[in-house]
Amino acid sequence: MEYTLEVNNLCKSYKKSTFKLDDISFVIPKGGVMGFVGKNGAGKSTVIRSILNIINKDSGEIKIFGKEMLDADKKMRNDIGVVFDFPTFYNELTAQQLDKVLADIYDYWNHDKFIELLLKYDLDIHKKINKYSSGMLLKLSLCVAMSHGAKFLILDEATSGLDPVVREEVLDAFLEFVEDENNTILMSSHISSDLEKIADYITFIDEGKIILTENKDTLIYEYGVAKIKQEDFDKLQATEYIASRIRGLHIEVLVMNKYEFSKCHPTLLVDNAMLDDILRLISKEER
Amino acid sequence: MFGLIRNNFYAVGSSLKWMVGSYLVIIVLSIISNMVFPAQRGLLLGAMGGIFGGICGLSSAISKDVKCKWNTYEIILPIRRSDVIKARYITILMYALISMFCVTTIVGVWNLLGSEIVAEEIGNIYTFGFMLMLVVPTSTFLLALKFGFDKNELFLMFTLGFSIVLYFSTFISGGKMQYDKTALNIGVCIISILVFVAAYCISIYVNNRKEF
Repeated sequence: MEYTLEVNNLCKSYKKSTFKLDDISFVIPKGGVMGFVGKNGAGKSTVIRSILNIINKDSGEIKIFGKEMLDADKKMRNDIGVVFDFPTFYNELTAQQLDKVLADIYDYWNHDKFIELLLKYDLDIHKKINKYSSGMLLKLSLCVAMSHGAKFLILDEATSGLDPVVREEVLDAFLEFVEDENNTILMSSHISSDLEKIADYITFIDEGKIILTENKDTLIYEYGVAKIKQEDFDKLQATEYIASRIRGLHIEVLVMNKYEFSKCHPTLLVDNAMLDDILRLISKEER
Repeated sequence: MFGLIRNNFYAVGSSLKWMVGSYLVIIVLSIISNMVFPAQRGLLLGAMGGIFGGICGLSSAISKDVKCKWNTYEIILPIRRSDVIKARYITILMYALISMFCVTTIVGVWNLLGSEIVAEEIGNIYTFGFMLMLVVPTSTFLLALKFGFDKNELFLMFTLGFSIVLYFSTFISGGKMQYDKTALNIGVCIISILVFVAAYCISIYVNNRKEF
């Protein structure tokens, strides 16, 4: 299988912080959409910054399109579109000026596509960027990321500042983007419903460690959450569940295969597991 | 890299307009002041004011880049990290050229008005302006790059003070040793170019290792 992104044993620590990325490994197959889920401060942005060489990793290997990205790899950077959760453009510029700037930087800058996307998202081309709202800034970043022929989109909380209507439009644009089997997306988000809509794979990260990487359909159709009483919980073997959490008078138990679990324990009710449930249950704090 | 220079010029665009505007005001004021002060004195004050204004505008424009986090975005663009620094320094050089052009315009206006212009005074103004334009923005940028752009104003004051002290101490000590003023001016220019080149090389080194 061909991978767009391979992260192997990535470690990163900071001098003035106890936080660290601890042996992060995951892959994204070409044409796939990876959802990156974790609490605030779990390490999602640090992983993304390491992938983009914005910060220097301590050890490990990151391969994009099969090779490590070096400072001189202009071609590779042409193929990567990035949207951060904060505005990144010089705010005295207008979108029209930004168009000219980026046309001089990217090898395959598509002016027509950029203008088309600006119009689609109702962004005024003559307005200074500092007059844009935070949602408009995110939309502008998306327009840029999708206008230079990128084959790999890295989206760090890209949909978090958008209203539901625009978010829907943007998600559709992402789905359209991955219709081309050569295109891949890595998307970190707090909004699990967005990931449920577009992701093929989900990676959970907590306290700088990868907790779980799984096919989204497996998570949704095979994983389950059982709400059980203490006496039933005591009868379970540790291998029968992944995580558990006391909630009121019940204990929530995350199981890997709800059908097998139901077979073994026909009296216990198992619900479908939503991404939020899984995140809540596998986060270390909640275990 | 041309796109980065273009972006830098959009970034300093408003401060550039202010600088050129202030030079125009200075021309008018120095014409009026000519009625009170000797010609070259008014010219000196005017040109200095313009140069200081230009440097402050340029330095604050550089820090705006950081506030907008454009400097983080630059890292993911298909350019080398050294190109980012190269583009900054080219912008500073172009800004210095525009500033020198404005001072030359002031000199030309004075010349047209038939004012008495002493060549030595003009030489001093150019040398001082050349030094400030090359040393202050580059050193301020380097210090801010290394220690944080939030302290940009502090670094600007520090490098401005350091440059003025360096300039006048060179002339005072050179004068005591009875050096020719032209030779001292050339010496100051050479020192400025050396500082510019050193700041450029160190900036590239710092930027290549910097985490954003």
